[in-house]
Amino acid sequence: MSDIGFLYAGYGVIWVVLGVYLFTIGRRQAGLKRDLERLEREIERES
Amino acid sequence: MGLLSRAWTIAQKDIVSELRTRETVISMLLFGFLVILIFNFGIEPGLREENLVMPGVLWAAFTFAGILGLNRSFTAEKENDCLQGLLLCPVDRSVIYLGKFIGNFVFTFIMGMFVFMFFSILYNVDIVSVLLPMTLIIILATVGFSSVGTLFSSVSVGLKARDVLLSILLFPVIVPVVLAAAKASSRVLDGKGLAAAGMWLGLLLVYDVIFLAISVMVFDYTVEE
Amino acid sequence: MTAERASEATRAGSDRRSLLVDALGVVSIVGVLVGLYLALLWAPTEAVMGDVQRIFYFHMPSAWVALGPSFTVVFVCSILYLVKKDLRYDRIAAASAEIGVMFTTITLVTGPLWARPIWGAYWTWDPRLTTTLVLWFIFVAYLMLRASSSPGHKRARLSAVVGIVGWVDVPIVFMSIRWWRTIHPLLINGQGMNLDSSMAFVLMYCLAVFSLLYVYLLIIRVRQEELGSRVDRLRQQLLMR
Repeated sequence: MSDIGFLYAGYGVIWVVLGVYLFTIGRRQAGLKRDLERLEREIERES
Repeated sequence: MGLLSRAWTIAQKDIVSELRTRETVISMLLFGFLVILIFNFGIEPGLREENLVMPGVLWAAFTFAGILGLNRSFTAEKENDCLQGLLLCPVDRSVIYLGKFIGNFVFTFIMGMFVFMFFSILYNVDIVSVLLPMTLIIILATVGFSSVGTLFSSVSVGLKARDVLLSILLFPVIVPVVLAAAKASSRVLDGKGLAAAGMWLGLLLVYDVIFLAISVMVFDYTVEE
Repeated sequence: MTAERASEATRAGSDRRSLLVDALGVVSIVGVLVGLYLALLWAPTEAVMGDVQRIFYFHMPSAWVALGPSFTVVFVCSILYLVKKDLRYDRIAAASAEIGVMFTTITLVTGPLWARPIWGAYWTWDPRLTTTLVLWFIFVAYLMLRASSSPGHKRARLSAVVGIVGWVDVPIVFMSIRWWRTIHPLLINGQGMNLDSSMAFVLMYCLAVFSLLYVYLLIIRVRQEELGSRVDRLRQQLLMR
């Protein structure tokens, strides 16, 4: 790999790792929102 | 009854029950010997650089066998519900920690000495000339290993995959102990005497003091109900 | 009536706070993109190492954020939790550990990618990088401990203990590896990098932007954990009926 290749690889990795992390946060958030709405609906129904 | 004698009573319980079956120490010994043997087959015999690799093999064996012992010490308590009994004793929780620590120290130290003997035979070490310095190194390393080891065993005992978790938790934290012990042993086994290993012994001592103190302080939080 | 209005007010307040957090997020991400431009294009090419040196502008701040704030926050919050028994500290510690591991991963991957073209070897047992590797293992173990226990005070207690022991160990690990490396000749001697003022500026800028990013990620993760406990509580409430 040429020298510049390493540079691109390095920055590429940074963006991939950051991206994956932000993506997992987003996915967890969506799941939690869904659960919250479902639970709130259930509680309203019961009361 | 002073703090130490109370701790010693708890340690005695472990030691006496171990004396009856000798299960744990024998498994530790066998495992330690086997690790040395396996490493041996992985490394070309009669290498000129053998002296550089030897101490590493010794301490790798020590670490793996030591973890085996730690795993079993708290497991026995959990299985027989002894932990509850211990916790009901009207003693400071730190006493329980010290008691378990002393027990683990004794077993691990015995294993360490025997593994060192086995190692010396295989690698033609002049045991008589190095016995005293090596014993000191083994003592210091065992204190460091058992102090954090006992603490982390208590942390992982109630969890699933506890054996694996104990290894994963302990190995990185133990790095300074293994490093210092290996470097010190390397000096001593090269015939350079204890003075040459001084800095590494100092590191071991510092590690031991710091982590024994921390473990005593936080052990309480690992068993709180 | 008043209860409704009160909850409306709190919702408005939290909306405003959410707006601030979102703004912080935008600023951080844009800041990182600007940093990318500065590092790749604006900064002058380094005399000795050439363009590959540019990875340093992101590598060093990553290492810094991980080693400095992230894991120190874990340590401090672990102690605070054990003293005050407030789960909020546990949540902050957990979030910080996660973000710290992420930045450490970035450091560990970019380090070898930088070392290889410059010094010919991926791994050089450099004390800082090696300590970072051990640090990575320590806090990955921390996260695995959390993963194998159920949410609550027990998990918080155990994590706090590990967090404290782990963080105290790091300087000792660093010292022992440093001594180890000074006995054996290093494959690499020092960094051999000449930093002029514009390069120093880019470095400082990236440091600041990464710290900002850390704060933003910490805030959204902690809020996510709080949302998670709220969901758990509601679930409990439902089961109770």
